[in-house]
Amino acid sequence: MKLSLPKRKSKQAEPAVADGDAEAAAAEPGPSRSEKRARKIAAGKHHSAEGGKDVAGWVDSRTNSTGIYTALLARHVPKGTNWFYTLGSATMFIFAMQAITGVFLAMYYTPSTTQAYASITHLTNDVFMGEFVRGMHKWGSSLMIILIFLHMGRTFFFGAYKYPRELNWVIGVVLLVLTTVMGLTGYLLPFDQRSLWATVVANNITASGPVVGPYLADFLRAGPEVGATTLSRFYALHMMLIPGLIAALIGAHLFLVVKLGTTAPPWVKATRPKGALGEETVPAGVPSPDDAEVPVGQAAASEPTPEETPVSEPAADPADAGGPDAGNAGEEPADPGAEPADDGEASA
Amino acid sequence: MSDSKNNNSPAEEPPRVTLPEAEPRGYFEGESMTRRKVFTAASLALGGVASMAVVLPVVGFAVAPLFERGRERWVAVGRLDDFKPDTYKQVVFTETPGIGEVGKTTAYVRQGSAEFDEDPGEYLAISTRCAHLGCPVRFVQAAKNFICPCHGGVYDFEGKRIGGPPVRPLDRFQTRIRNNHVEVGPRYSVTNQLKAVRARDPGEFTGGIWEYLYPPRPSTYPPPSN
Amino acid sequence: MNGREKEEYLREYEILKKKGKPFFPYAIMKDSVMMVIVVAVMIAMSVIMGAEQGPKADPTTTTYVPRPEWYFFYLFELLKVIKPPALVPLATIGIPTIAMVLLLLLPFYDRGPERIPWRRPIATITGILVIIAMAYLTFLGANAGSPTEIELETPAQFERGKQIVAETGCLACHSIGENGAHGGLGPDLTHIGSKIPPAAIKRSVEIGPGIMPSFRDLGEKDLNQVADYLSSLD
Repeated sequence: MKLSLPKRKSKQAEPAVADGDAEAAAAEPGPSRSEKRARKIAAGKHHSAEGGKDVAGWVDSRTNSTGIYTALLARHVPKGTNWFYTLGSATMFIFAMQAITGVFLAMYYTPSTTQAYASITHLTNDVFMGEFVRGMHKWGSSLMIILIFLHMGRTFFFGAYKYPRELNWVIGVVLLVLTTVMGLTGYLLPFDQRSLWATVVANNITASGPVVGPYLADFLRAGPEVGATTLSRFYALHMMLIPGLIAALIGAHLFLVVKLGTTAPPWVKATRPKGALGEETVPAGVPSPDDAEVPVGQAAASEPTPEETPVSEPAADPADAGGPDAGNAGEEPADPGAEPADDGEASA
Repeated sequence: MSDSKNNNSPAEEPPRVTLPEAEPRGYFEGESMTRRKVFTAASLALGGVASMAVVLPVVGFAVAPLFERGRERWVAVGRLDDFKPDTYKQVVFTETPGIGEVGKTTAYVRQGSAEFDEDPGEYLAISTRCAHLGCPVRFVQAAKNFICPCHGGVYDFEGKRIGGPPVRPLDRFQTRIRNNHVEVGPRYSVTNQLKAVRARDPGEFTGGIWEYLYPPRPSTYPPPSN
Repeated sequence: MNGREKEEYLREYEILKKKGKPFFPYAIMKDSVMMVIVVAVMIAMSVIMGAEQGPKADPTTTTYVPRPEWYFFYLFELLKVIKPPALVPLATIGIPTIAMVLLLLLPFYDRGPERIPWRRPIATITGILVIIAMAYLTFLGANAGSPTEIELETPAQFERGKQIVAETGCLACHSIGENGAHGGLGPDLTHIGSKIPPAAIKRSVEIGPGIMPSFRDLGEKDLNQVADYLSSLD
């Protein structure tokens, strides 16, 4: 999205060129209000001229959908991306399948201790394709567990959890835990022998944790025994709370994937001419401390040219001295603003 | 990584356009820091109040069952002469009413036996819930012990652990005699010395310091005095 | 990774990304193929295995043998492997929690710049060992026999004895074939017939040597059946 914004601006600025005052507008970073209005009018005219026929363009001008397209779909995946990289999307796909089949199963299911078993019997035996849909949901859960483990295995063995994707690993592990909790809570719902005893044992496993365990088990069961409220509680967790959390975390997971990019297999190396990008990233004589943070926003950020003299930057605005970041702006070694100062001195 | 190399390369580095960033972020002209702080604090506080006003009642609503104790129930499970001191009789009774089959539970009941220094006028009701993780245990008459099919727990005739992973003896139910019938009441747990304590979930130790590591829950009944 | 290695990585990655293909439609194509495979497997499993319903939930049972869903088998087996009661919280809560915390914090203690599996042998070998351990425990859990059943084949004349042995709880301490308490209190009985003469077996069952309880209450007829069955195990 970051990329597309300037693009759109320049597009809109185009008609203004014809008006003649565009040169001034382009040169000056802050055009006056009247100039802005003039440009807007010009742009508006431009749009209405070809507008009507172009619904996509109309939507795009209001939503920046081409920008979203560029960021989400036109982004490049690195060289060497292979079949192992389909496991994550497959896991997400099967989550969507589980959500769909789950919603339709809920149409026939009754979360009551006296009727749950009968409603499952009815669903399985009487409803058209009932057993098929329930089977998809049941086996889909096993598949989801398998796929999420495979996806995690790929991430582990490819070292893809390392910088800068540590946070995405953490989100992934939380998703793994939530998925097993889905398995556990969903297991009670058919209310057959397996369900009941698996839940009893799982609750007692919780209870065996010292100090908080007993209370946590009471909380999960909604009382001292597995009963009616346990079933409705598990139903609410399985139907709403945990799927909501999973969907939100998948969103965060994907946001980071788009932002940071998918990894390449670790053995795929970029070939580049000697002396090209990469070798001289840090000026000699300025050893990076081990814990130096390199913000990904400046990924592949070019070194500032020595002509720039940002040394004066921190002192430029005295009003900023009290700002939270003002103090270390000049000291942060990984900060691109700080390095050129030394660089300039070295070359002088 | 040498100095000279570094100095040779600037020509290859693409130009960079930097706009001076306002400090702090979002700063506007004429803004005073006090005003900014007041607005920050106010929005955080108001947001916090609004969220807590929803979250706290909801959490309380979900947590409430921890502090509720159902009405004490006593159920007649058989006539006095149904039960013998040397063997158990299996009885099924409703522990939690109104929720159908799942509210029922099973107990093994016998008369107190002189062999174990028990009062023959008392009756013992032992829960089928394994003290390891709650699987159903089964009384085996020939060996006079209880066995659990999940992880191989074994208990003797009194319900004390003799093998496998269970952490304490089997739970019991309080008993009393009314109208020539044996009635069973609330569940309680026992220590390894068979001292009665408040009911614990399976997997929780009883007695000594464990009483503090696995505190009794408010949803359970006080144990019978003995 | 220090700052230099981080920058190095970002640069390297940027080059690889420039050399790569757009996500749509090239990567999406592979994803879609995978999706079709996944949904086909799901449908096939549903059609072939269906969704059978077990017997209705009954908390009063004393004969049901609870077993978890297959993806919890390794946890289930862990509970069986760890016998001493004092270690039960370790098996139930301790080990799984520690494992999850270690997994969650992985990127924060494994900070080396190396990503190629064979150049970071400690991480790779640990990962493989964990997978093997989980697979092994899952296998054991899946094959764990019930302690109220004996799956070992037996000649017809010993069937009655076998049934008594299974239902009397012998397998709570002993093991016979796949079933029973492997490494439990009592010895393995799978080959007992070739070690002890029939008369001694019968006497042991009757008086219960050591910590073993007496099974005299079975009665003379059943005791003989049990002794005959156990003697046939060789």
